[in-house]
Amino acid sequence: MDAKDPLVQFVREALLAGKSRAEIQSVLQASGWSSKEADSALAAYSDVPFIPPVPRPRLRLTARDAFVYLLLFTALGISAWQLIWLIFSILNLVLPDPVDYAYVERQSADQIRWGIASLVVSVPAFVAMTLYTDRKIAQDAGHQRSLVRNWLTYLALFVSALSFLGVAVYVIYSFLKGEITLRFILKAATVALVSAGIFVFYLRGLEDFRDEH
Amino acid sequence: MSTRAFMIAAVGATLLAVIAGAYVVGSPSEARRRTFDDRRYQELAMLAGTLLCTSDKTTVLPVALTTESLRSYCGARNLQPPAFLDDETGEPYKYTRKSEEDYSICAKFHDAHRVARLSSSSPNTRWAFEPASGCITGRIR
Repeated sequence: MDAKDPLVQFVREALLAGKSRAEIQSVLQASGWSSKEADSALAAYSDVPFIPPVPRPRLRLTARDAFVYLLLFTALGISAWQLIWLIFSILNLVLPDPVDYAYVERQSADQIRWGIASLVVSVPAFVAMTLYTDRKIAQDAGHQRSLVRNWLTYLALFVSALSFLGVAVYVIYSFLKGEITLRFILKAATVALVSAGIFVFYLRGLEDFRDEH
Repeated sequence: MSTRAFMIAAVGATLLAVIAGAYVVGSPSEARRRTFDDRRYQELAMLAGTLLCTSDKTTVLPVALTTESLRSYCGARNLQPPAFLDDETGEPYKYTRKSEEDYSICAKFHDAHRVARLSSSSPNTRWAFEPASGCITGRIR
């Protein structure tokens, strides 16, 4: 919450005046603020017996974080996308479908080459950046409070959740159209597994961060 | 899921997919051979297409395929004819005039059956590719 917010400023002045948190919460609610809004304003200051009130650590925005996390999440996006396409293309060649057009074989062979080339570069970059950021966080927990990291984590959750829901819709549509083949099921499972893996990993990361703060 | 478990799963899945992909798609030298085969087919098809340039019912096929003979055959001085030479071997494509209206143009393919399978979605009514011989045979009228 913004320190310049009148509500946060009021909480600070009330704490400075020696009012208890329960009193502040009560007076805020009596003034029309919701319980959650009052909690949020109180959460701007640590619950420690010290005057003046000690601000809680807040999310930070630095150019270095933007560089590191944009690179990390771009590598993650490319890796996930190319891994899915690589598996799709392998399935196209290994399990050909009579309804395929002739160009599918040529296109799939080319996509496999692009997939391999992209993964050979993007996966090591993703692994290296993840290990680097983890090491930095282990050295200094402040690195975990990156605004860019937080936003991109939610973006990754959003995209993976959207992919998962998209697959669910497409599976139902294909079933209704009579196109449920082994190849189709394996492709749907690939997208579901990759998106679910990313979703669970980053959701756990967010939960750990929330528990620690 | 810990970072370590996620990394092991991600790297493992990628390695498996890359190895399977490399196995399915073949070696780089095989890919190069396929590229040359695709180009051969395209050039033979373009030559066959060029031989359909005339609507004059008295025109007969040229004896040999050269820039000049094609320009004369098509009645177009500025015609830029397709390639006559195989890019990999440097040898000319083998053109045979079977009659005044029938011809064949052949090349040596590494895998002509693959080329025929991949080109089967675009059949032509005036010429056809025969994978057994590696030739396009056609009729101009």
